[in-house]
Amino acid sequence: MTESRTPVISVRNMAKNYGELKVLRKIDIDIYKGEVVSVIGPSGSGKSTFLRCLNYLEELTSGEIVIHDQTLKGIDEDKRHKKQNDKAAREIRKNVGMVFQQFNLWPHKTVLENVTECPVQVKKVNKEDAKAKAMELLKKVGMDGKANAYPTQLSGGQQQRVAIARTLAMEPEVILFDEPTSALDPEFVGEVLNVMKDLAEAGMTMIVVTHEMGFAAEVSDRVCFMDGGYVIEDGTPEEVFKNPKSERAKQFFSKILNV
Amino acid sequence: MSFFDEFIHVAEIALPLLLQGLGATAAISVLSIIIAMILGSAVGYMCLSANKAVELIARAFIKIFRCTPFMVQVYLAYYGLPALGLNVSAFSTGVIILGLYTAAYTAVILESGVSAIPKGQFEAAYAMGMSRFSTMVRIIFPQTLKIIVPSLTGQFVQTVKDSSILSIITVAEMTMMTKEAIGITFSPLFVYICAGVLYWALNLVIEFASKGIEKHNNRVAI
Ligand SMILES: Nc1ncnc2c1ncn2[C@@H]1O[C@H](COP(=O)(O)OP(=O)(O)OP(=O)(O)O)[C@@H](O)[C@H]1O
Ligand SMILES: [Mg+2]
Repeated sequence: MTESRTPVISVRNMAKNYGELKVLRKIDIDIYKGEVVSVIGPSGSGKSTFLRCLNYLEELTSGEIVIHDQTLKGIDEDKRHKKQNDKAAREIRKNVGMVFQQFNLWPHKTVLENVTECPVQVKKVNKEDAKAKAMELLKKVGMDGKANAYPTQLSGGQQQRVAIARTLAMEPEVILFDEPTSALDPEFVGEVLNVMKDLAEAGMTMIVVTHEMGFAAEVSDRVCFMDGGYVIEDGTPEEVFKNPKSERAKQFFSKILNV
Repeated sequence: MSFFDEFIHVAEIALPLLLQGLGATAAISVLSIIIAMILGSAVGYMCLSANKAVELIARAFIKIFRCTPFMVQVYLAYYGLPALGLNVSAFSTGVIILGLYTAAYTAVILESGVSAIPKGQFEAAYAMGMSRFSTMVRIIFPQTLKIIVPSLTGQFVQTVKDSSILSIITVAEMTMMTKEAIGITFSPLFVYICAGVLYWALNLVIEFASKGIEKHNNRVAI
């Protein structure tokens, strides 16, 4: 990691409160192009909240996030930031995709329609081109055979692979994954992780909140350990898993390794 | 004259008048329902706005029309619109007020449909760059149909029935024409039987249409 490169995502001094509850206290992090960053940590430590702030599904309380030349700012400092944030978010969401724990496919649309919906509606790609592209992506995730099925007819693993194809259809620069395999039966976890591995190898920039320590160790360039609203470990998988600096990380690992 | 002969006799005189009224009732109902769907959607959408002022206006609209008797609203419109310098016919006044009244209920039904859709459905659309408006129209609304079509049907059947109240402001709809037919035949029982059957028939059309939409929904959204 050479310091001279400009980050794709730059988070400065970010804090997020829900009323009195301080979920994120002070987050500073840079994400560079092509990096795969795993975010791990105990339940309730703010991992999802952190991810959801990046594409403005949550408003940040203070600090800022810079993605490309767009900036999201904390609304506690100035209420006017809200309007600017709404505008910045529209641009940011063109470059930042998200894959959810619960897949969130649209049940009234077929697999193919799920994938073509946003390229056609948001990017104004013509329908035929969007379809061709969608079929290509579905093939990539091994779901081209189910293009005309409805989401409820698919297994969780299949739904998640379609959700990944849907996100890829917008050609994002970064994809945020929030526990993409946590809602899956164990037998389907592998197929989704494999798709993610392929993406990582193809150079996609990814931030992955996960409980899959194997995936974090094997695939990611960086692992961030969050607790109490801070990122308290940030390094290569080697550094973080083998030689955690903090007591809390050591405890966390000893707990999950004992299970 | 037998009971049956008498009924036929009354019906022969009353039916032309009633059918004339039925035409007006159908027209009033259809126009009111169209107003209610357009305005109700707008008000329902405003209820979900992030802008508190917009939401407040929508909620006030709903409260006003749901918490006062329809008959009072009808009289207010009948005497109020001319006082505001708007000289509209009784028919138009009736359509407007019944449209507004039904819109308030439609908005509530739409809002409850939207609130039944999981948050993740919105978030997936927002995260992909969709605007609030297209998310509502293309992603959320189609999913609410299953939930709201039965309630909307009930509401629109109610609208047909409520249109009878417009007879108090001289709209020549079916209830008004019923009274006129009674004036000629002096046979309220038989004339009201005819009117009841015709109202029922009109509402069967609405229920039939609704069943068609439900069937279509079930085929599309599995
Ligand atoms: N919309 C909300 N309103 C109020 N509190 C919230 C909201 N969303 C999350 N929280 C709280 O914020 C804290 C952090 O939640 P978050 O979902 O970010 O944790 P997490 O690290 O993703 O946990 P998990 O591993 O269980 O998914 C929790 O205490 C949670 O209860
Ligand atoms: Mg979470």
